[in-house]
Amino acid sequence: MGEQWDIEKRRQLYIWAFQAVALTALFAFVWFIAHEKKYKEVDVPQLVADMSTITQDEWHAEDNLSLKRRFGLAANDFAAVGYFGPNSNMDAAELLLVRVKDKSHTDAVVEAMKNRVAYQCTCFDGYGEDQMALLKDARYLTRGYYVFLIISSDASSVEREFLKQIEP
Amino acid sequence: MTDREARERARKLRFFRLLGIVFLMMIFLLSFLRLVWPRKAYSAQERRTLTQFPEMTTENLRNGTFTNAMEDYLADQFPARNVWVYLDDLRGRIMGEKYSQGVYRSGSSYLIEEFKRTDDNRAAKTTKAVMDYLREYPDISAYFMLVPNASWILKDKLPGGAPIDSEEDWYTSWSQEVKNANLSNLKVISLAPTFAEEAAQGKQIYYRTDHHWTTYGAYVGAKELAAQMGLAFEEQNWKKVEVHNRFQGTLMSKSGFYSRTADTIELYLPDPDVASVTAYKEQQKTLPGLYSSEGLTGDDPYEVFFGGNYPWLNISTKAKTNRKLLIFKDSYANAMIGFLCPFFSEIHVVDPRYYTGDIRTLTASAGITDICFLYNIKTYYEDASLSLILEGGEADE
Amino acid sequence: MVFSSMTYLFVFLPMVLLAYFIAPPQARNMVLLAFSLIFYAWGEPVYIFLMLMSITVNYVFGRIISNNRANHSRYAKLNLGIAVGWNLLALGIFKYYPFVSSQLRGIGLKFIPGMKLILPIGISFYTFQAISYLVDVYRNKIRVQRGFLKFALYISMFPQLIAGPIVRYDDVEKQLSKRKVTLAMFGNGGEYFLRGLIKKVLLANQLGALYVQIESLGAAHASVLTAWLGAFAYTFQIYFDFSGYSDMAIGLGKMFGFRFPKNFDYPYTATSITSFWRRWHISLSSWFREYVYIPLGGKRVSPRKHVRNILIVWLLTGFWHGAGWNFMLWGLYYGILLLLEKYVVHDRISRHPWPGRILTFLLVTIGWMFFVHTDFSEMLTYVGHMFGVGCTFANATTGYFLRTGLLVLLLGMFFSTPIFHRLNEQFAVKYYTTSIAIRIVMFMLCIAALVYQSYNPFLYFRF
Repeated sequence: MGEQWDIEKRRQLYIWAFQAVALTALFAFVWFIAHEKKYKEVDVPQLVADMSTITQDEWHAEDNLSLKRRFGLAANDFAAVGYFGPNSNMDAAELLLVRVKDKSHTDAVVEAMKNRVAYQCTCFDGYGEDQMALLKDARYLTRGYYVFLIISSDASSVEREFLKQIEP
Repeated sequence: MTDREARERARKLRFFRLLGIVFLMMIFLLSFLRLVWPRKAYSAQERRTLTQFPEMTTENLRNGTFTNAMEDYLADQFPARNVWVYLDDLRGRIMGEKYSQGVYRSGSSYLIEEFKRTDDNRAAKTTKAVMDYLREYPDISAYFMLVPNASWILKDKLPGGAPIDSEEDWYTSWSQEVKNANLSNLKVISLAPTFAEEAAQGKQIYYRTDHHWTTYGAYVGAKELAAQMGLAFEEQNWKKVEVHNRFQGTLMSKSGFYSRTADTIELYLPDPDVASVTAYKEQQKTLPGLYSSEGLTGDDPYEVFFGGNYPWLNISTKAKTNRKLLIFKDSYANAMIGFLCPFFSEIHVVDPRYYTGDIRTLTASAGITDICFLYNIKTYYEDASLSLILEGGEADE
Repeated sequence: MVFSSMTYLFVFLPMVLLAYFIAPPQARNMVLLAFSLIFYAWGEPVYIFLMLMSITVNYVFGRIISNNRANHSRYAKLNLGIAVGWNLLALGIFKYYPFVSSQLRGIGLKFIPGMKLILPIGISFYTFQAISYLVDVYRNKIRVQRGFLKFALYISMFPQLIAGPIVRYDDVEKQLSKRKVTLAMFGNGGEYFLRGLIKKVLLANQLGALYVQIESLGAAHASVLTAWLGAFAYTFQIYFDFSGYSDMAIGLGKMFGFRFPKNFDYPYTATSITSFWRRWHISLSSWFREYVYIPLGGKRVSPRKHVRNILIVWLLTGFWHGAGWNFMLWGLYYGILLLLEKYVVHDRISRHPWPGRILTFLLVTIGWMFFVHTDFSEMLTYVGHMFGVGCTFANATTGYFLRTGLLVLLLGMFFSTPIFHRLNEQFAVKYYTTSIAIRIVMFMLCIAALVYQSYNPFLYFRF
């Protein structure tokens, strides 16, 4: 190639190097955006129980039946589930952490969570401003195999703690 | 000619200079006002908490929560927010807009909520759950009253041709479903004919800016229900008390449509007081009475009834009777339960949206003689909680 | 960030104006660049790296191409190829890969990895700017930009960053180095900006609400006339949305001393499809003409090749608007219409402007219905309704929408003709205090609508 274009060898080498870097950088960036970190495997119910103490929300651990009733999700379909619900049905605070067996389940779980929040909104719309504020701030996090719904008066702290705990 | 052109050009330049200054002034003045304007936590007008300055975390920034919340914050805390909302309403009025957030603006100061048949199956599921539940208690008398909404009874007031679905059509098919269930202990109370008559006589059945029925509407409903229940409703006298005369309701908050008209809230008190309430329990505490002055002075005066919604209420009365009533209800019932107090010694009020207990345990243990399902059609159609608590047999702890 | 937002109007804009006019002239490019990057990062911060990468790569390749153009033209061409390839690769991955991979997986090629990527805002616009720059450098139409800062500003300048116009380097070359803003020019910019804001907030959003209401009607309420009303509402919505955004961009450009090319020229008054595309999104259609159509041979080839060229260009135009089959269909629709116009109708229509105008408008309206429905069965249902399949001609609901939507539709019609603008200009010169007062009121109405409306999506974001 060099003879053909008759350019100084060294300059051409630089150019060649730049072309390579440009392409590599693009793919590296795509990889950086698209790849998923391997998150730590944690004791899901325990983690949710720990996180429920972060805020003053009044809630308690729920069983799999209420998970089925409220979210339409069967606990057996997942690797692990941790669910805290409100003490009274007049509260809205909820934490649901699911570890899916297969990442293709993620969307369905998020969908179920969103339905639950939408349903709660219909219950409180026009009657409970505080509950509506919590529901509006509901967060859905997907990280690796984890899917997490946070409805809490201090969602940010719960979120931060969760991310810290599963950080590899 | 060129002279004139030059003059025009000069005027044009002057116009743009002036506009430039005005533009800068508008942007900077409003930005400055925005900075110094006091922050509010809550909007009474819209009945919601207003967004505060969002917390900045890496996660928030990364997933866009921060930027979205920022926009909400700026709109919510904008100087003189209510004035702007009013201004936009004015614009909409001039443009002939009649619809906002599920609410229609009618010509005659009524705001009317739309009815949309989005999912017939959900309501069918609820109805089936109710029928299955009632079938388990053949000895208990049951009543089913679905109250028509304003979009049915006041459909003439809707903007002509507004694309709402017909409640009447749905109600007809629902009645058929109930008839097919063939329950001998169940009576269905259809209010539409009576309501249509009352409305034709100019009686106010619905609040103008709220989705609830008036106390008069509830009175008419109670009369119909009492007739089916075999109660001596006609012998009872009621003392009318006006408790609020500036009532503007949720439909106005929801739609942003401003209405000058305000409604009056009335209470009908039994006269003489044959059956005052002796105990009035919510799950945790005992409440002062059927009516709440606290609710009356709050942002939603409709909360004068009970002071709001509770998962479960137990009302004991002085009425000398053995009949005990269990009501499954939405907020429409709040205005009506007072009418039933003279005729039942105990009334259990269950709001399925919030109730968590086992409904069958309650039915069996409380010595219930009558069960009533009392909903407005729209809520019943959209609700998913009633079927949840009725089907919940195996799901309960 | 969009211009029609509280964040932009009352936080970003005052800050950038202050910083820009306080800064000494030699620092102004720096200020503009810094704010442009913040503007870009606002929505999706991580893509700021993609933007910087794109700037660097295109800058360096521009230099390489320009250095070798004279003496090593084949080597320059090779580098042009690589550079254009790099840009298309980036666009392809971020915009089209998720769609293409899901289609391929759908037909059973499960080994292809699916990827969830969020579309970087404005990537279609700045990629096209970069490509035009590289090609123009290669063709020796422009001088290469040696200043990195200036080049970065050309690619990322916030007024036209996220929704065009696609500015040619040629148009702004001088202004990147030296530009002057007079108060009158600033005011002229303000006029454009306000016009755009009004189009977007007071017309497009209301028309959009009307369309959404009609679109979501159940079969029980649908009718032919209602469907057409909805289609017209969308037709005007997309015009005011997009041309409003272009107006705001042009206005902002003027405020900082840039002159961007016109992007719309009353497209709905066009008398033929050919003329429509000379008036609609001008910077995009001229881009395709210059960098795809003409290099393919344009129309100076055999008719068969010409047909091929037209179809290629219009499939690409359609696909540029979004990764979806409906956009391809929409592009193909125009390709076929243009061919019909060229080979069958000729200029029989242009001799009679009004029939041509009406026919063109109706065809464009139908076209938008292909454009807006990403779901084919919904598209068929809607277009079916327009032609009376499965519904009556008119019903009570039609009357309702006529009463509540007619005014905004008529305003839409009026504002998309040059008549209004001519009158407006004459009026402004004659009675300028009244004109200013009107503008203040309109601006306040825009703010009111923004405060009230949660309904504020920007249609062209997905490109």
